[in-house]
Amino acid sequence: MRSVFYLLDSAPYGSEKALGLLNAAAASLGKMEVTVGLYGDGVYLALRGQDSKGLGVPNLAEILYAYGEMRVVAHEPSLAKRGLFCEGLIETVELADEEAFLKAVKDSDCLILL
Amino acid sequence: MKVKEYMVLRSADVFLLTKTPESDRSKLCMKLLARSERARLYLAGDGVYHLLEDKAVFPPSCEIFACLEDVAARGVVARKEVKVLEEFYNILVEDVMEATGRFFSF
Repeated sequence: MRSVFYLLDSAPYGSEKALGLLNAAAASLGKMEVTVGLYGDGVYLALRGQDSKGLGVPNLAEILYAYGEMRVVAHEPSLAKRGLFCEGLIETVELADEEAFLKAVKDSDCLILL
Repeated sequence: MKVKEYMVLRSADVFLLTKTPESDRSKLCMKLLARSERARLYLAGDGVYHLLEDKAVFPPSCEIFACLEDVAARGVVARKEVKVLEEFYNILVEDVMEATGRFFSF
């Protein structure tokens, strides 16, 4: 089975990039080995307790909970840089240091960024 | 420069970079490039500004190609080891189709 790495490097709200990326990743489940990588401002998606009601857009954390089989990896240095390391994170999100994160990207057959 | 001149079948990772050197995506691309044993880097759009950097930032085994139109539009002067291609996208697509390594687009 081919593997695909979806890289989210922009904030989860304020554009449709994260929603589009998660939809694409969900559609790939079962057909490919799917990993969603959170990098840079993308790591904000890992935060627990997201409330998007005021924005009138879907709650992206609920998508992560709905697709628990989707592997989601957060880049630890990006979390640390934003002071999120001690914040509550979604339980299904794995943490990866720089080397592990880059290895996951490199080992995938395909890298997709939006 | 014609497409066939660059039709080389060999194991290499292919990178397409369109962002400026200071962007986070460029930095991630360069980290992956450094971990690639053999790579070909295609620079287009604002990615051609990487040609202004010291060549030491690129791994020695990395072949670099740049889009002629984008180089000219930005007034960038490429070093002699950089292949500036008129048929940039044709060559890139054929390379991606034929190469046995991975393709990364930033």
